[in-house]
Amino acid sequence: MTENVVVTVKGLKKSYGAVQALKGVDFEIRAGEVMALLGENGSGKSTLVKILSGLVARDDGTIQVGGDASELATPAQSREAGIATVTQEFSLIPQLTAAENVFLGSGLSGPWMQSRLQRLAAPYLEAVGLEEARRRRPVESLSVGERQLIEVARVLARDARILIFDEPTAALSDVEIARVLDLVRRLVGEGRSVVYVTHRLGEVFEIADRATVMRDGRSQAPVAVADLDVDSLITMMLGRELETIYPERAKELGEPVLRVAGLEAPGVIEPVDLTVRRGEIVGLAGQLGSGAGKLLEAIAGVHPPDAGQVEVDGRPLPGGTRGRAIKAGLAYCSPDRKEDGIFEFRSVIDNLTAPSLKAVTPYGWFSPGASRRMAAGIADQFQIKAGKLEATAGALSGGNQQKVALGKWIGIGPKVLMVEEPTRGVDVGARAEIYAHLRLLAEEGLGVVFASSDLAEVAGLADTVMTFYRGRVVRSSPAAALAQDDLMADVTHGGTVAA
Amino acid sequence: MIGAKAQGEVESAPTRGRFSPSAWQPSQEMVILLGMLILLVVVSALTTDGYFNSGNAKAIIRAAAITGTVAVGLTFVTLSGNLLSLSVEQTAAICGVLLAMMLRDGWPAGIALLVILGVAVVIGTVQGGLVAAGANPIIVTLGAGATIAGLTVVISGGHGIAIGHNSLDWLGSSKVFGLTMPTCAFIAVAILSSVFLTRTRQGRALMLTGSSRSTAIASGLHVRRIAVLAFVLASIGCAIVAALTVSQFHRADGIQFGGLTFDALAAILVGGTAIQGGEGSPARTAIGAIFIAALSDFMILHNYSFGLRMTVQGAVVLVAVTVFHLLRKRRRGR
Repeated sequence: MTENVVVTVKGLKKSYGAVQALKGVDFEIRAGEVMALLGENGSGKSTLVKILSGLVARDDGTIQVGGDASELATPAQSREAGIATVTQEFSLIPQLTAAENVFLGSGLSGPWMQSRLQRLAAPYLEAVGLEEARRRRPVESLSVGERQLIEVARVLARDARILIFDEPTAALSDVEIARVLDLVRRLVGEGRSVVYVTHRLGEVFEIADRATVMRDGRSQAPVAVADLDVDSLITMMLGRELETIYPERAKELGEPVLRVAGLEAPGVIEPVDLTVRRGEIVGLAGQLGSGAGKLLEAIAGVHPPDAGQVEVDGRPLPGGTRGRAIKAGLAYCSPDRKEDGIFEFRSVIDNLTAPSLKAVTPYGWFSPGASRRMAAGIADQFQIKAGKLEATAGALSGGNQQKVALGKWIGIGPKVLMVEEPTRGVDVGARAEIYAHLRLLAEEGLGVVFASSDLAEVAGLADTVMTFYRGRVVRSSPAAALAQDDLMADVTHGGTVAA
Repeated sequence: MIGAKAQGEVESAPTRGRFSPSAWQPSQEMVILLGMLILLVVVSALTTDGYFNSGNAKAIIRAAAITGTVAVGLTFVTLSGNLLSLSVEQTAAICGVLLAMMLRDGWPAGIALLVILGVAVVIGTVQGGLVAAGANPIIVTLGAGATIAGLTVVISGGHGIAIGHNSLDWLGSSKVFGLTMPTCAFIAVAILSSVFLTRTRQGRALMLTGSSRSTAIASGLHVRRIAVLAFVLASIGCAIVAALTVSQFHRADGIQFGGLTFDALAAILVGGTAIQGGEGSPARTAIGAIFIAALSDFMILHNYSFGLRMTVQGAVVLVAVTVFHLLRKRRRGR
């Protein structure tokens, strides 16, 4: 086939210090196609994307854009070559409105331009489906999902020929994901090319024409998606078979360890009752804004609840502060790992011992030995390599970062572990590990509650499922008795499927 | 167990050997700082006759002592993620004036010292409290500095307070191992601060808070208490310096410490402490102060004009801030 190839990458190499991130990567994309770029965290796909965006300089290899050899040494050069990237890191200015952010760097900004900006930005914001009422608010007051939509709108405004979507849907709810996928289809319909980086294999089959799979810093020859199925794709990514990613369900449950009665909080409209037993994993399914996450925040004391009681091990929890909740044994991981899950620039040891600083500072004096022993113990349990204890947490892969964010709570001797979006930005292999760890913790007698917008994850991991829609609980039922269709109906329509 | 294994982005060989807790690994910044200091001393020695004979080293450390002591205390504010304090010289001045007045009126030295320590703690607590409540540290300390300066004038009536021999003379005149009291205090404060930061619960919590405030809150650390603690420690540094200065010069007035705030900040920045917090150390600040003093010594020995000295000193701060920023950027890989 001699379809017009718009980007050709050959023999790309890149090292960060002693770490060889790319060991020889070939990559190409044609006009009007969606090329999925897949691989586990640490396989090198982020580095490839960064090189194409001009953010990172390559050590070796050639890049041709539209037949001409390209340097792509700076983001500006990359932009000139017609390449634009929708990143997973949010690069919006929080104080500016959506419209201002869309035209960031184009010279169009300032308060006197507001109405003109709004007009100019409208088609792009329309295309990504950002509600009109939300466009005039500062970006910081919008949800993560909405912010991601603005990122996409910004790239549209640049009229690039080659668009790189770097996990655009990681933070989005299903409705928003559908919107982004539609958009991608439209873009390639216009003859543009899209490089689509994702961890969600379902999306690959929905929109991609071909897929390039990376493993361990090397690329594999691109394959047509039509010739693939999920299993073969996973095998290509892992280089081995993956039996199943979900552990077995609980065989027996213990006493209730967390009891929540009549809880109301911002984002949780109707009072919620919730009971979690020892050994049980409760999955709260819901899209962004469903209230599932807000419920966990309220229980964890991130925001004080408006009404209701929380009991841990039969003892009422005087709610409202994180400190008290932690003392009572409530561990909580937010969905935004980078923001408040880990200390990016501190070592893994420091991270793992942070919530239990008291335990490693007997009589107020820091004990490096105790700290190392605690960290090594947790690292061992969570399969974080011992050699990485000294590394800064930010240098780890997404999966390992999440293990650190979860594992650090072990030190407080938690009774209940609450996690929002436990596998966001985590690759397939590490996902399975995280599920296994959560199950193991439950088997050790913890109550585990997680909120997720990934329905397969809720159905696969939880013993008991609660579904949320627009601040209300739709249903609470044993997971085994629930079909995935019902789940989908609950979280997208509030269960009221038209007869 | 599930047969999947995460592939980390950083593949490093297991290094069990490095696990010995005694292995002190100096930061890149510390290596550069010490290297620059040694280079400066070597250059000075080669270009100055009798550089080592004239007690120059002692003179340099003595010159660094006052700024250094304050700067080390102030480092806690920066490390904890609360930027900086602009009320350092005013805090030192009010402590000095109060101390001189009490000594003049015949108070016992111990009581007088306790009183100014108390005043410093109150000043630190108020500022730290406001910052903990969410106010901007620069604005708070700017305002507090003006308030304290005004109060100092009110208390002293705007006059310098001269005192004769008094119950604090021992502090100004005694020496330990041939080192003057300011030098001893500087060394002691630097060591104690380093120990506090790396070896105590509060110190660790302070450092973690500076490195990510939101993660610290989510981990249940008391970030408000830590802000107060940081400002109190900075104030105590000011009180120590006030006591040393008054006991030595037998006088105090409201503008005695003019320029101290910016000198202290320069020492912190030259020491490579990140202004955003979470990275740096009191020890590095101390070396930073010594470096500036040594540079100043070198320029005086070579008859640089005042203007030129200021220019060079300013440029050094700029270069240091830039180099350390780039260094951090590279280390963090972005």
